[in-house]
Amino acid sequence: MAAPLELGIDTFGDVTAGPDGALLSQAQVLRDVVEEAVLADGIGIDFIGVGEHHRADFAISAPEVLLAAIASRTKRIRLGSAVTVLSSDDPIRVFQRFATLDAVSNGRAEVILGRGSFTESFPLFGYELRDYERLFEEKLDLFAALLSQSAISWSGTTRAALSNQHVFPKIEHGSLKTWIGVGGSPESVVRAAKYDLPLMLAIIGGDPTRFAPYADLYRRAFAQLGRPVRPIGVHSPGYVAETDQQAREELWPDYKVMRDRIGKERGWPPMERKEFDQEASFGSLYVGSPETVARKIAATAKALDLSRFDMKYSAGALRHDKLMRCIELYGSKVIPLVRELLS
Amino acid sequence: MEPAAPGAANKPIRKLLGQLRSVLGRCVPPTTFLFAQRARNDFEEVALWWKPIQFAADNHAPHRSANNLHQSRGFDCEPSQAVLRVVGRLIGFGPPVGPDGVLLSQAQVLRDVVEKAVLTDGLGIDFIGIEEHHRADLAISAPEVLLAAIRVTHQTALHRQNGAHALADQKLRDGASDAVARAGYQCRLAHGIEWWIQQTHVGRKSRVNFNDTVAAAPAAAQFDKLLLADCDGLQADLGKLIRFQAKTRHNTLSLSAGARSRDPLAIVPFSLVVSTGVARSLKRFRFCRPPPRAMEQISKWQHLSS
Repeated sequence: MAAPLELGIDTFGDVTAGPDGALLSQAQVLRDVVEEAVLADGIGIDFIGVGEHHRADFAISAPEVLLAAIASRTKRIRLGSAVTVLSSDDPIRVFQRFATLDAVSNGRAEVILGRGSFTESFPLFGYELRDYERLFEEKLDLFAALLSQSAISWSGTTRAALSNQHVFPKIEHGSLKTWIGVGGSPESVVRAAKYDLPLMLAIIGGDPTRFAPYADLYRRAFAQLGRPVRPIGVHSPGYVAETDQQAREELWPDYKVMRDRIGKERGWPPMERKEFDQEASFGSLYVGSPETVARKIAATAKALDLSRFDMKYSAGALRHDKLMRCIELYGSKVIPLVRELLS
Repeated sequence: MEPAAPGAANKPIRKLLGQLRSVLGRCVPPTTFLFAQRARNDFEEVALWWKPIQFAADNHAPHRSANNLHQSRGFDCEPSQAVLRVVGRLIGFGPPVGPDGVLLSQAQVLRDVVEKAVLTDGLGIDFIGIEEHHRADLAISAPEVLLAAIRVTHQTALHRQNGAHALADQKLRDGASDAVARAGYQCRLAHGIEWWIQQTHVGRKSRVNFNDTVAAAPAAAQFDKLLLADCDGLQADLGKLIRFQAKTRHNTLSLSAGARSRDPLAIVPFSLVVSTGVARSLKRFRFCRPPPRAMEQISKWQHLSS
């Protein structure tokens, strides 16, 4: 690996339960996420990504606004979306918001552009799901053009054309760090290479080494294009507690509720404990003691030759105080262990 | 450099405030309040903030009052609130150019807006509005992101202010030998309302340059003259940016202000940075009342906007 592995965390602003078990307001959840990020910054975590959703169970619909609030209270942690649903947004607006974030955070902004695994944003913003592919392709094309920071001339079918226009504010130093978030489509992998952008693989189930062909494909695409390869990152769910058993027991009830709620919409059967344990032991659920989680992250990082690993630490109603503990362990124990294992 | 703890900062500030009050007491407008900020190293900073709209309402047009002004502007806030609107660069709140006179990056302007806005939180400004523009000369295209970056605790205001003025402080230190005082003056001018502000006497070695729309450039002008000249400039050319600089032998005293036509809202923040010889320096600050002509203008604008 050329650069040391960066270790980050992700959250969707999952609506958590309060001490009495009742769900907190989304506003409170947003404030809690800011506190979580502040903790992560203080403890040496490299990145926090907040995912855009438009649902009752996830409080974050405007990642840049939350990230700007985090920026004002942190010093060094990098700030990103995980992901920004570009298909149902305006690329210019997205760029402006992240450029503003980049300015107020002194160059710490990153955007992960994706199509999103949820579809609420399409009817919400007046887009047709049948345009899923075209929307992302065209908007990514425009966004990639914006990254050059020069005057834009662009035309497409999904928004008005641009003729020699500038977008402000400009990025102060270099370019806006832009990843392409990919869930498992080879076309998306090749597209990321085509636009010379880093690749963020969302691996939310199964053996992570299954994604080795995607990493290979990405690197081969760069080889064919004759360009130096860009970084690959992985986003996966996880949870750290003092012991393996404690981590699993604490995570399981809320994880199941969350999984079953989403699964119901997608036609998945309810999750059994056996499946959960299977994922924890062999799959893409990074749950356990700091040692267990660190070993697992190191194995994935080696297998896929990663530059970044982001653990999604929020899990449905799992309480803020537990998430804070998880972040603390991730920063103080998991990260040093992973670095040790990889050195 | 870490900021001084608020507690530690308060002692010299209180002393300074006492001195300020004794010097200024009788000529400070009734709704003016003083707010002391930190002390760091050899420098104390005092920020004085006026609530011009309220002042106008109290003294000159009680029946037309700020209430009308606010409603006419569509602001959803209490009439007694002091309101600050920010657009970013040229007529924004904060210096539009760096110390060397070159335009700052948009990113730096955005950070500056955050610093100033944080400062307002500790100083009694009730509302800050940030305007969206999509132009090279105005840096704010995503107001909500910028607003989210503005922290709202007093503690933070103290902390951030240190950052905001670090450069100014350094400059002051560098040329401190015969510098009497450095005043950082940042305001939005609107229709003469700024005549509350102040005059700042920087000593016999002063040299004042006028730029931009203020055509006259009288050497060695006193600041009261400067303000009057500025007033003329405003009347002649409302809506244009006015910027002026005053130079002492070793120090540059930068004053910047923007005037925007047909905007009845004004906020007049004013901050002073004075050197260690606080008592000595204070003698050199004098404050003036608005000239009668400015008052007429204010009444006229309030009338027009109601």
